[in-house]
Amino acid sequence: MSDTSGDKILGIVPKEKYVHFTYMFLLVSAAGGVFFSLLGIVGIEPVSATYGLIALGLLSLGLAVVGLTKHKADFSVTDHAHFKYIALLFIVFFVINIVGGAFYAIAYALGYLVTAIIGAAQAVLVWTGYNSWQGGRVVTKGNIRDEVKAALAKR
Amino acid sequence: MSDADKIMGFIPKDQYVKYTYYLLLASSIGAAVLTLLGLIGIHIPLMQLFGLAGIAGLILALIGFFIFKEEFSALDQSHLLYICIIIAVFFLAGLILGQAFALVTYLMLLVSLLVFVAQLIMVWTGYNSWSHGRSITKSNVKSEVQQALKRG
Repeated sequence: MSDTSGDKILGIVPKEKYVHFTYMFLLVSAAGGVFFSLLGIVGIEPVSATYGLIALGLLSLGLAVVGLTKHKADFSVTDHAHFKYIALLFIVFFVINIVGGAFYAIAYALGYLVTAIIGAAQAVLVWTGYNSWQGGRVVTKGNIRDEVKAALAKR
Repeated sequence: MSDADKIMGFIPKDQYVKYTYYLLLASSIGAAVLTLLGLIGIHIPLMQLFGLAGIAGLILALIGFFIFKEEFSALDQSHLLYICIIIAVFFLAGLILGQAFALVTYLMLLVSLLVFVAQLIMVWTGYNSWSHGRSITKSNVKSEVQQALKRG
């Protein structure tokens, strides 16, 4: 390969290595995702490194888009097909991760909500007991409902 | 007030149940408020403090009910038992909820791992196909994946 800028895309990437580099960035990003998921299972969450993987994935998508648009004429039909494949992969897994993330966030919020409800129930029952003790009464199975009502009404 | 009117030498007998309730009220209200704040993303590291208040309340209730039972009226005994039951029930509820929460988190991590593995396989398949000068279409994607995995 001559070292002229005509053989290079964007002035820096050798044309015959362009798809190779695009795939390599995406491979490192995807392999890193697998590795960090495994670390996550054992409780290690390298957040900043995850951003690095996302940046690599975006770089790969950027290269694929540039290869498909601005420099389309520089590549073969097979290369075009692979650029489309890379863009499709990125979009599909981006959507899957967004949906998965949303599901996880909802589950997390629900967990907090249930914890808060249980905590509130505990506080109400402790307050009920205190109110009952102050009134010189005993809390039993038979009167617990009335005691809770009386405690909440006293509030 | 003589020492005979005090439990463990420092807690007035007539105030014992009240202090026990205060500790538990502080613990349960504090935990509920912190959880609500956590729901909107505010994390205040005071949960251990409220947990400690709860444990202190439980210890007072257990000591009062089992060791100094004769010192208390039937009413106080009944309330000390009520406190023990409440704590046992909510401790169990918290334990079950915590396990369920941990399980959901673990399952989500497992699903994430599977998604990332699928992504890696598909990217590797694309690279393998490109390096052999082929294209990936709907009709050949299965055989391309098989070839990529064989090569791997």
